[in-house]
Amino acid sequence: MPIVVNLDVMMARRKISLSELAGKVDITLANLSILKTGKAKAVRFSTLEAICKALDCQPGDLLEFSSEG
Amino acid sequence: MKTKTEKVLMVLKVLAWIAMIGYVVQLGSQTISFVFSLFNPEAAKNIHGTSFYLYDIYMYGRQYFIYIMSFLIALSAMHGYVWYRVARLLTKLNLQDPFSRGVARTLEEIGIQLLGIWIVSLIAQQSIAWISKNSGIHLDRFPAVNEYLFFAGIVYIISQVFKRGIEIQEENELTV
Repeated sequence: MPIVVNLDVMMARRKISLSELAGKVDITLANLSILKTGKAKAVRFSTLEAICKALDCQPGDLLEFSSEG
Repeated sequence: MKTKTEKVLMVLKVLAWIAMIGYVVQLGSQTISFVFSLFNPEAAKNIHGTSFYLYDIYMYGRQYFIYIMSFLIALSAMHGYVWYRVARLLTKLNLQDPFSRGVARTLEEIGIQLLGIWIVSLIAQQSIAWISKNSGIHLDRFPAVNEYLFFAGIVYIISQVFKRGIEIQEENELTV
């Protein structure tokens, strides 16, 4: 898919684990893992908002368009 | 407590297995009668599942008898197989999680098999009409076949809608 999710990069920058983030944004670990591994087909604005709030970043920091995908 | 749908499916499952067994019995009976009739033409007088008098056809030409019987046996086998697939589908169907790729694929295949039955039935119908016309032997009209085209279409459309439903379900599951 041409949309790349850079959640792992932002998590590494903020030094936060997946389970820790899952607790903060109130999303199951399984769903967060789907997002992190790029298997997700859609992201709700509410989820994006919660992750941006937890990681103190912008949606553009998490999502990237790549024509090579 | 079982829901009404579960009870209906249970009844349908039993009926599908009964229909399958019925066709298997018919297939066996027709095959045995056919083999016997090759050695003893009298056996062609009463072949199970045939509404027309095949003995006269046998007397007119053995090759025509073999031709018609091949169609009848093939159709019994095809009917039996379709009912087997339906029975298996109903046995496997889990109402807690009914939208699976396996169910969609089976439905699609049943639709294609019904189309196959329609094609074979149509060829058999036309062949029997042709033999009847040329031999002068009155043969009852072959059972209606166009229903199979209708059923095949309906089942195929359902399978495609089912497939789309599975895609939407998968998309929904992968929405975070």
